Amino acid sequence: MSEELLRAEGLTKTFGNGVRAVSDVSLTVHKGETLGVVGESGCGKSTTGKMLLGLLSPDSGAVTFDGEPLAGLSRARLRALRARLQVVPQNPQTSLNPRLRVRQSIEFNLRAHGVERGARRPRVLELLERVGLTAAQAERFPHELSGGQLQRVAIARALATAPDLVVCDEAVSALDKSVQAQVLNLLADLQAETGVAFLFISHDLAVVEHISDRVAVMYLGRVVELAPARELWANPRHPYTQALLSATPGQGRERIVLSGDLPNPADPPSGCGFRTRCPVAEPACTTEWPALAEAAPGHRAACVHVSPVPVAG
Amino acid sequence: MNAAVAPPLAVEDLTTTFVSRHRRIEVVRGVSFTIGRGETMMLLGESGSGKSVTARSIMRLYGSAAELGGSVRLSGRELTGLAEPQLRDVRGGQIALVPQDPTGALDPLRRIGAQLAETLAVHGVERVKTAARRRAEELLAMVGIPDPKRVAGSYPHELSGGMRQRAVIAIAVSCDPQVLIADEPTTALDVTVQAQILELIADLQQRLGMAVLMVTHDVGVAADFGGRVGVMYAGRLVEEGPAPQVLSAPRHPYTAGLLESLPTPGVARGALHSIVGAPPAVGAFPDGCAFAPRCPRARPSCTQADPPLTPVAEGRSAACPVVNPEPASVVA
Repeated sequence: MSEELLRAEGLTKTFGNGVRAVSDVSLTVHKGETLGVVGESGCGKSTTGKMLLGLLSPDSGAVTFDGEPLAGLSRARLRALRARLQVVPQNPQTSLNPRLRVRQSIEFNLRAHGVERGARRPRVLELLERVGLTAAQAERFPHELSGGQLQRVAIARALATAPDLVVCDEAVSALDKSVQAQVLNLLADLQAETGVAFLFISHDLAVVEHISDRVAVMYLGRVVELAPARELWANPRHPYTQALLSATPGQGRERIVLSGDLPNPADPPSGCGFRTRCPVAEPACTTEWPALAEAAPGHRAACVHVSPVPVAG
Repeated sequence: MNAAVAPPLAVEDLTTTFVSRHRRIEVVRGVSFTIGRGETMMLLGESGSGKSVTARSIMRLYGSAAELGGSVRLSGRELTGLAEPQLRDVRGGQIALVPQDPTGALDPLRRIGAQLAETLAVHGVERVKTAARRRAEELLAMVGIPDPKRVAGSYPHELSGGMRQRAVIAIAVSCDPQVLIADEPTTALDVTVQAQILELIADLQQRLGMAVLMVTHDVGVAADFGGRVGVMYAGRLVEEGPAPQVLSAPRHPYTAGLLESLPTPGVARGALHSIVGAPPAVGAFPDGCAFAPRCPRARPSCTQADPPLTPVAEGRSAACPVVNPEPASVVA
């Protein structure tokens, strides 16, 4: 698991309207692991996902997949890489072609990656069976299937080319809880069988904690905390993570209600972007956004209040 | 009519059937509950369970698109059979709605203050323009908007999602309603803003003594907000009782399955309990107990008759003959 699969260094992306969606984000995904990325709307998690997939090029910084930088790759080479780097989007209703049978949608992905015609159909049926769909359901159109079934199709399509990494962008967020549990179990089983790595993007901290090995918490375009999932849940160090955890309903934690809204990403506050809502902000926080510093082994947080030595209790 | 003791909201055997030329689709199938002054009822359920339709049927918002059955009484006053002009007085006056999407609830072309003043004028609370403007600003301050004068002069698109939902809540409480219906009021909001809005609703409820009916799909929201909870499945209440008890020691197999499917710290990856299959589609509810096809405890008889909600413990009821006869010892 320690072998590095994907590395992002200093990713920054500013959109034409002046919104700096992502600032200086560095992440690593190892083979076979799940890295969770959690944050609220506008925190830059989906933009980060798109840059990692090579669907969006960063203004600065670089993405390296299995030792090969994505920037400057030829189209043919990028296409070959994409077989190993797949995506499960949030909304399968819009990502599956409504006029194709779901079998055809998956075959399409296989064809794009050079799988011979005769080999496609058996592979599709095998994949659909693996995600819990029948041969009869393979012949259905997207509108004939439920949200949970469609998300299974999207997962089968992503896994068709035996990828090394699948980016799941809010892949279970639209599902009812009883169905969401089935899909989360399926993802975990598939990972155990195939050794695929996941980058799991979600706003739902409980889901991310459950499915991930490590979790990156994003706020206003930056990673503010990065830690093993259980460690983050038990011992959050950044004030934002603490508030986010306490605001996740049904935890029975003492609630930290943040005042105000997320700042406008086109006009972020000076210094630490969280200081306008932070219960422990101090004057020093207005000068610069603190770098991620080690708070405990493997646990980093970007806050001046995080002391390098783990604080007891 | 004994208005002194009549609860703010009493719903009895409510049914909602959507009718078109070709089809009749039963969406709500006999829902009953009452909410006392200052009390809360949460309707908890997954998509298609009929929770939002129940809330909107209480306000009779479907017009001729739906046939409503049963009875809805607001402080003893029967709403069934009221004509549209009278209903318009009731809505926004005695019973107000906070919808899920604040953007759709506000007129994009009019300033927030004018929209508040209009509600006050329509319900005869404050007809004088300048006084209505002043009252609008007071209401915006009451819902925790830091700069009410500026917000009153703003258009909806100039506000954040959280601020918009606060403005909608200000409009909802402007005429001092006895009943506030909040239909997934925080679902469109980020979790840190959600916490603020839930706190605001609880605070207003206490200050104004409103009965609150809140619709949610989020078990966590139901657990945090408290009060009583009614769990809905396929258009029926399958379990009802005080939220802390129902959500910590559920009786109905559906409630139990729903709670076990939530990712909880300590559950190994891939080992989440899940309910087999998916909730039935609206219009295709199975015969007998609608949950039976997915139920791990179903007996052959479960597909025959739809079990009624019956008492299982003090203040609690469940619609399941398998768990009903012997109130099993509850492990807290």
